[in-house]
Parts: sequence; structure tokens; C-alpha cells
Amino acid sequence: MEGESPRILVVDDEPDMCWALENILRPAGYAMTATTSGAEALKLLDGEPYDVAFVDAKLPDLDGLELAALIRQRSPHTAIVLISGYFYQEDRSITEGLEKGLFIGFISKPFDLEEVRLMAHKAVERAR
Amino acid sequence: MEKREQMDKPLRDLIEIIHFTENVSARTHGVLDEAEIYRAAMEEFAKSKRYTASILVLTDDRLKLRIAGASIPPEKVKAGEEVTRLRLKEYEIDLSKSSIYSQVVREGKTVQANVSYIIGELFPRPLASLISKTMGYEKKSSILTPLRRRGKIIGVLAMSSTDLAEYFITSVRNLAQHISTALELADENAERKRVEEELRESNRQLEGRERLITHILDSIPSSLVVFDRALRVVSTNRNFLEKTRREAQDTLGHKLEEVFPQVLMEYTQLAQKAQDVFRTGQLVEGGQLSYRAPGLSTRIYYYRLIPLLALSRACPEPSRRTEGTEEAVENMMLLMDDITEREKLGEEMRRAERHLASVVECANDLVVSMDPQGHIVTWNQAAEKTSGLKTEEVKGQSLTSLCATEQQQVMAKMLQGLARGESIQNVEVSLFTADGREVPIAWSCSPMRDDAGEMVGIVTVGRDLTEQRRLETQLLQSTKMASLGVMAGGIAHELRNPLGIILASAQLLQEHADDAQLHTQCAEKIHAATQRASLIIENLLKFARPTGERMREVDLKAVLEETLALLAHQMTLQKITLRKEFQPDLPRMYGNPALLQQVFTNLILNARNAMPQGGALTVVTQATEAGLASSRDSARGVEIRFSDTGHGIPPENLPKVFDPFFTTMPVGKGTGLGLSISYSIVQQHQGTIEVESQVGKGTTFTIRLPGTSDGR
Repeated sequence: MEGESPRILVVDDEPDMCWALENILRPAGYAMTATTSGAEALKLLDGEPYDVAFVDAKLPDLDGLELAALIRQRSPHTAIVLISGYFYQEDRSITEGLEKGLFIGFISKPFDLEEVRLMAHKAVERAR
Repeated sequence: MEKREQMDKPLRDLIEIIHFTENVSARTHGVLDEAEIYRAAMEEFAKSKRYTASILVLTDDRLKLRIAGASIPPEKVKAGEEVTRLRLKEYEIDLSKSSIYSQVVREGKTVQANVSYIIGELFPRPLASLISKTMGYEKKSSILTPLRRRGKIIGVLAMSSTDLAEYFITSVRNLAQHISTALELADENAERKRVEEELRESNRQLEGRERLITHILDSIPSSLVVFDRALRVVSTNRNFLEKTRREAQDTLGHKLEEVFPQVLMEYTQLAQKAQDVFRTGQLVEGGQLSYRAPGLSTRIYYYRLIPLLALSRACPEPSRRTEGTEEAVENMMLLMDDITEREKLGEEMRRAERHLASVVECANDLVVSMDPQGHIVTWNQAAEKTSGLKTEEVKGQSLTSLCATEQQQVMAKMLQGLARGESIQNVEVSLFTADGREVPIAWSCSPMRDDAGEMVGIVTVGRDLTEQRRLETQLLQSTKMASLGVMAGGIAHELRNPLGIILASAQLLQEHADDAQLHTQCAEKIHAATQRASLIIENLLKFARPTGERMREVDLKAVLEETLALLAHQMTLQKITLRKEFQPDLPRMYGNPALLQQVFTNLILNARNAMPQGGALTVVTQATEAGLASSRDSARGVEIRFSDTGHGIPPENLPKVFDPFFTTMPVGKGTGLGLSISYSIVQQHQGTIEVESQVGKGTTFTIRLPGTSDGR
């Protein structure tokens, strides 16, 4: 990877979950930003471009799927990874979202660190 | 006449006097009145030209004689009265002055005397000779003979003539005898008449009395038969004849066995009993007998055999009646009171009583009656069965003392309320059984009042709730499991977050063995996330655990908070904002926390279901000042409101929301029991639950629960 580090935005209402993702990905060379609300995430995306967004499926103010759609609208080059403790890989919302390209990957909680790192790598590839 | 003149004078006189005597006898015979006899005799004398006669009778004091009749021609009397200036008719002869008259009436002699001599004894000389002269007595002589009545001299018959021969005396005596006979005959007649009249009178009286007695007998509303020692009917009354459809003529004089059916005679042993009464003279209270007259329905009588004593004995010495011996009882009265109606009424009453008693006894519910102070009077079979305590063991004890210790207060309070005049009271209080269990009972107590409205006792009907409670518990558990199913998704999500954090932290620990700062952070995150996960599971288990049965003092706020904690995440997931408006210092209340939590859970899940697109749920608690209608006293209560901003309930469904199995959810999504169970739980807490809703705006459920009374 040349130039600056890929930028990743984490949106999860659980601060500890944000902490975990930051600590997994930062040592791998990513520039991490985290927020606990959907509105805040949109604001951040308006300000700076992000290569990848890890979005929790359930947020207090916005549905994760809705947020994904909004991000796709506003920042089409940002690859989105849905992360959820509510949905499972086989759930209809997830398969549909993947098919439509709303998000490029799905991680269910609890997850393996390697899985997160692979997904981040894949997303950055896709974004660039 | 010619022939007579040829006869010699004495013979003619004799014939005349005999003829004359016969006439008097014929005229006076059968004449009943004394005066009439004298008058008739005088009339006959008056026909004679030769004789005059007079009858004098003794006055009451027998000292004087007064003229009862005389055949002196009226003109002679008149002339005499003119000369003497005396009223001769009323002249009384003083016996003390007349030796002649005295001899006749005192000595019973027949005397012949010169009339002038007789007059001379009575009047002074010049007056006497004047009378004799005027009346023509100078040459006359009189025969005076006593006049008798029943052998007793009552007066004098005097006959005067110018020539009275010795032999006339017999004739005059005869004449007097004839008059006496007539008088005696009159007396006899009078006596006979009197006796006859007396007899008639007594007969009349007797008839009157007989009629009265018959009337009285006929008026007696009982059947009456009087019979003699031969058991022949002597008398009866109309009531008997009508009731038995008999005629008097084929009853009177007939024997009892001809009057009564043989079966009846045998059944009652009437003849035997009658003989006993005749023997002992003692009244017999017979008992009951049934009699069915042809064409009439059977009547039931109460009969008595009453001895009637012989009149001669009964009357003078009524006090000796009880000692009446064989001869004393002449007749017997069979008195039959128709008690058919009374019997029927009594039978009906007994039947109703038996029925009522068996209703109470056979009732599945406990039926307990108490005196106004709450001491047990009756205790039915169901009560015995439920409590294991026999009636004898509980009689006189207070119902309160048989209740579960911590609930005795409630029962005592309710009984006191009834005593104060409150009406029907419902309360749930457990009964302490003989084998040491506590059986939940729903009591409904009401006062028993007499006609004056005074409370004379308390009756309570208790329903054993054991089975109902068991079913309720089962049902509750099923709905709980259903709720759990609904919650499972959210709960899984809630667990997956801390699990994710724990897993991530653990791996980070492994990967960065040399980063001490990260180690500390990871340990902290694992610790916090594990605690959170275990709290979630704990709440879940608490909710899933079967409900305890006992009511206790409940901290309503704590129960609400616990419930909300369990469901908060569900709300978040569905973007439902939760607003809590809890008033501090809520009144304390009795309740079952697990049950109340179920109610709150149901209402919150319902609200969540009503807001699939998110919304707000407001939970408000506040104290209510006035007591509830269903509450026993006016202690403060608690009101809990759950208001959502969901789609609302259409008005046509509003009355059905508390019905069991009513649901608008798709099959498999809801049991339709949540609200109906909530309703019954609130009722168990003597509270109310109400719903208001507006389609498109939202729904509010309001629960009102009574607080424990202020004094506690």
C-alpha cells in the first residue's frame, strides 16, 4: 500500500465494540475513526472520504441498513461492511443487501479477529 | 105447669130445687174462672122467683166475708142502698159480729136462721129493721152452708126463701158441693194448663237451646261425631256430613263401623280406643287419620276422643269429672280437625328445608354462616372437605382464626365492615387446613338481616381457588414462554454484543502478549461485558421462573424497573423511546411481584407490537387519593399508565381486548391471552385495568391498584 493509510469509519452504538474494532485494525495499518450514532457517521462522511465503513445493523437513531443506503448515496466509493449481533449470514436482509451491493460483506457478532482483518483488506481493495 | 100445680108444694119445691141445682151444675161445670162460676150460679138463682141466693167468700185474712155474687134483683138492691146509704155490693161481713156466719165458716156447720136475725147481728136495730123491711127479709129465713175448695172452707153459700123446709138443707149442701166441684175443676184445669204451659215453655226453651247447640255444632269448623256406649252415632255436625259426603239419616243411629270405612277403623283402632275412654273417662289425643270421601280428595285429620259425662253427674259436680267411673261417661265425642292444608304446608316447608339444606350441603363451594361477631354457626361439607376440619371442631370459633396468619387482618376487617352495615364483600384469604396447608379461597360475604333489617348473622360463600390457581399458573407459564419466544431475538442480540466484545478482547490479549496497557483494557472489557451478559441472563431466568403463590408487600417501582430493564433493549431495537415518569413515595401495596411483572411485560410487549415503525412508550406511576370502588377502604392507591404512540385499537375491538384468545396478531405470533391474564391478575390484586385508544394516535392502559391501608 502506497501513500497514506486506508481510512476506516466504525459505527456502533456500543463504545466497547468500537474500541475492539479500533484495536484490531489500527495495528494492521488502518486509520481508524469511530462513532456511536448514525447521524454522527453521516456528518463525518460529509467531511472526509473513508475507504471502508463498518456499520452495526441496529443503531439507536437509524437502522443499519438505512444508514448503509445513505452512505452509498453520499459516498459511493466507500465500501460498507455490515456487522451485527442481530442478523445472521443466512438472513434475507443480509443476502439481499449483498446481492444488491448495498454492502460488500457481513460479519456476525461475536467474530474472529482474522475475519475482521480479511474483511477490511477486501473492502479496501474493493474501494480503490 | 098445670101438672106442677096439682103437685103438693114440698114436692114441687124439691123438684124445682133439684132442677135448679142441675142447671147450676151444668152452667158451672167446666167454667174455669172462679168469678164466672159465681156469676153463672147467680144467674140461675135469678131465674127463680122463690129463692134468692148469695155467695160470700172469705177475705185473705179470713176475718171477713165479702159478697161474690147475689141473686137479689137490682131494684131491691138499689132501694136498700138508698135507705141505708151503704154500698151493699161492697159490704163486707165482719165475722166477729156474726155468730151465724162464724158457725158456718169456722165450724163448717150448715145453719138455718131467720134473715132478720142475721141482719140484726150485723147492723144496729133501727137500721137492721129498715133493711129487713126494705129488702123484704122479715119473713125470710136462710140456709147457710160452707163453700169448700179442695176441702178447705173458702166461703158461704146462702139461700133464702119465705118458706124453707128442713129438707132443703141437703139440697143446698148439694148445690154448694156442685159449686165446689166446679171450682175444683177450674183449679185442676188451671193447674193442668199451668203445667202444660210450663211444659210448652220449657219445650220452647229446650228447642231454642237445641237449635242453638245445633247451630253452634254446625258452625264449628271441625268434624264432630258423638256416639254412645254402643258406638252408635248420637249426634254429628254439618262439617262432618259435608266432609264425608254423608246424609244425617244414614249417619245418626248407625254404628261407627257403618259410618267409617273398615280400613280406617282398623288403622286407627277407633273402637278399641273408644272402649278405653269409656272405661277410664280420660281424653285421648288420637293422632292423625286420613279419610277419603267418595268423589273428594283425601283429607288428613287430627282426631281426639273426648268423653262426655252423663248430664246428671256432669252438671252438679264438675270437679269430680276426672274421677268419672264407668257409668259417668255416657257419650263420647270424636273431634276431627282437618289439618290437610297445614300438613301440606308443613310437608312443603320440610321439603323446602331439606332441599335448602341439601343445596347448602352439596354445594361445591364452602358455605359458612356466622353470628354477627363472626363466630361460625354452620359449616358445610365442602368446608369440611377443603379445610379437613369437622363442623364440631370449628363451631363457635371465629372464621378469622382459621385464616392464614398474615391474612387474618383482612378477614377481620371485612367482617367488621359487614357489622358496620356495609353490604356484600369479596376478598381472597387463604384458609389454614387441618394438615397445615394454606388453601386460597375467594370469599363472598353478605349480612343476613331479619325483617326489621337488623343484622342477625353473616353468610359467606367461599370458592376453593387451588385448581383455578393451578390452571392460572399453567396458563401464565405458557404465556410467559410465549413472551420469551418473542423476546428471544432481542435477547440473543443483546448477548451477542458482550460476547463479541469478550471474544475480541481475548484474541487481542493473545495477539499482543507484550502490550501491558492493552492487557489491562482487555481484562476490563471482558469483565464488564461478562457482567452485562450475566445480568441479561439473570433477568431472563427470573422472568421464566414459575411464579410463587404468595402475596407480599411489593415495591412497585422496583418491579417496574426490573421489567423495563429486561425489555429496554427490545425497545431500542425497534427505535422506541422509553419515558419514565415515576412518582417518588408511592403508597405501599400488597401483591405478587412475579404476577405484576407479567402484567407489565404483557403491556410493554403489546405497546412494542403496536409501534413497528418506532415511537414512544410512556410509563407513569402516581398515587391516587380516593380509594377504588372494589377496595375495602379508602386508603390511597397506585395508578400505573402505559401510553404508546402506536397504531391504536379500532373501537370495535376495544371491548374485546381483555377476552381470552382475542388477538389481531398472525397465527403463531401471539396467544391472545396476554391481556386476559393481565386482567385476571389485576383483579386478583383487587385492582382495575382500563384501556383507551385512538386509531393512529396510540393506546393507554391504566392499572389502578389499592394500597395497603394507611394504618399499617
